[in-house]
Amino acid sequence: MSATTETHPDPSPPDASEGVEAELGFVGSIGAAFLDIAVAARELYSVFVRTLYYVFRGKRVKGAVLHQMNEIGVKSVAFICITMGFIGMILVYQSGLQAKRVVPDFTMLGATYLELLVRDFAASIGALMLATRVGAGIAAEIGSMVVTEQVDALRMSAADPIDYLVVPRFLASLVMTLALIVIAGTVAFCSGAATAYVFFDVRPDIFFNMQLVDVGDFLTGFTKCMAYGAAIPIVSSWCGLSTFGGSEGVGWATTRAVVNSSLAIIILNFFISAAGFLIFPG
Amino acid sequence: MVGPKGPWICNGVIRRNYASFGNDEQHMAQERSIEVKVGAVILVALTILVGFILVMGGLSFQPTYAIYVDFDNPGGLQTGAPVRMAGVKVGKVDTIEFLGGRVETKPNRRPLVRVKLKVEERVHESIHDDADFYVTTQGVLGEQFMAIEPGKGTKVLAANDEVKGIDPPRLDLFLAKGYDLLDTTVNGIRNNKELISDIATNTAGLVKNLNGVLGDNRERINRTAENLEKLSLEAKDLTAHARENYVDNPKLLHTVDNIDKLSSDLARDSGPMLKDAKESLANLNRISGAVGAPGEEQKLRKAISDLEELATRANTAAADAQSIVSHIKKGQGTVGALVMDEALFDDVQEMVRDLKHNPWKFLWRE
Repeated sequence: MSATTETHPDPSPPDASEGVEAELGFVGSIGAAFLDIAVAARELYSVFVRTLYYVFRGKRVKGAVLHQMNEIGVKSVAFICITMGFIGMILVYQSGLQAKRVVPDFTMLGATYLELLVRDFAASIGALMLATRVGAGIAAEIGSMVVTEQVDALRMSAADPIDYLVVPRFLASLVMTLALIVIAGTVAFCSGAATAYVFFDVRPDIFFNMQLVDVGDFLTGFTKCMAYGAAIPIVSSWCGLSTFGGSEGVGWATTRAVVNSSLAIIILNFFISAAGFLIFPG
Repeated sequence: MVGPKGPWICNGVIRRNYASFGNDEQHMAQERSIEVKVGAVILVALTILVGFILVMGGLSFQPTYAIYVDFDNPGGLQTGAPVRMAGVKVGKVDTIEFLGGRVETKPNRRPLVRVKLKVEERVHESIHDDADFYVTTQGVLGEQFMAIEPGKGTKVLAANDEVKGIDPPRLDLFLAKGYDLLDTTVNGIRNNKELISDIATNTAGLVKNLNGVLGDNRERINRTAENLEKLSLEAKDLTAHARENYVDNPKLLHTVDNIDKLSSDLARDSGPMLKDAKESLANLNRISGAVGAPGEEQKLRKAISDLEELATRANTAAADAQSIVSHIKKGQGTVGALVMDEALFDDVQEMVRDLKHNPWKFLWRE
């Protein structure tokens, strides 16, 4: 019925791939890799488009999105706050040390840190953290459903698994990623302010300097939150839906979900940042 | 094994519901607790987001007023940049409008750019009408802001006033012009090497010759210099003397004062004097009128001729008297001897003294 379960980006088990490469030769293996990527991109696109379609046309099960918000969002709050808090401390400490070498002037440390946080770091690092937790969870859950043939049963009942499985996670992630990144960014900034106060004697009211943050920074950061919030469930769901071969396959699907989500975040970061710099120069 | 409907597999809550074997109350409580948690997270995030946007938008609860500052080039000033007075933030740049020199904001002023400042009302009294507005930078990263030097004028700058800002120094322009100048100089030197070499050679020769001339005439030059010095000293003395005598001299001042006084007296008295003279003239006129009658004139003539005769006689008498006196002076004649002969006087004196002492000599002769 759909490409998601019938074709796999990497159909052969790891131990058999060397044999395939030997058969195809060097040029053939490059071609195979490109074909795999093309197929994966098409499947990913298919999942994304169908998700968008079901967001507007699908049947919503009561409580499904709320449940996913709890799973993706609420249960990630502590994790993401702790990681971003530490990352904030490290970033300010390191940049403070670097700044100290050049000019011992910390008046603009907070302003530059806040700009970086709003424009990039809060969204990108927060989303990478989320990808490890949420992406792995989604892929494992859907993957195990696939290998226990629950997804096939859904299809047999003329229900698209995208509508029942992916859309609630997509909507929940869209909202909760933004919320989590806003909270995580605040935590990172506060921990950074504390670090600056302790190590560089920068008072918090000096550190909290909004001077360098403009609408361009804010919109770039907001767009990133939205893009990552959409990318994590789509990529992870696609990895979960393309699971095959028992519990080992579920493990592989989880790994691929984390890797591909992180990759998607970094690639999206590149393009959105470039667009941000083009649209809002300076 | 697989349920007939989607919710069974897609929704963890319902699956857990199966596990709890229909404990509805527990399920409801769990559901509500999830809602609360999700709501709390979203609410916190929304609060932070809205707060951030408000702060970013320059939220300030201080009432503000507007000042318009005209620039030809405000440098890298941007909307939202802070306005600082003595280093303290007192407002922000609201808008930067490009006028392009088309609008005459004040007589003879066509600025390119107009910057609207929103300044907090609390500093209104501190900004005077001679305040300076200029763009400067803060920190190493060069955050540009508008600085206000409050000024010391008597009047306070009113709201919505239009003032002229001080354009920031154009380093780029300075470098460009300096580069152009340097380029021209280098090209000039490069293209006129021979000419410059000639000039240098000639200058060196000139200096050498001058040095020779100075060396040869050292004594004469020294003498001339000494003379000049003396001359100047004398001139100085002369000047001092002249000053002492003719400028600072009190006598001169007195003279001038006297002349002044005289002239003022004359001015004061000339009126009455003229009046008297007039009266005298009138009297004279009357007298002459009286004298002018034919009989009177005859009498007058007679009197004058009598007078003349009298005078002649008197003259003669005087001459006779004079000759008598001269005779007496010479000691001629009796009176002359009496007057001029001292021996006679002595004799008379002795005789008188003798008579005083011996009055009997009047009666008796020895």
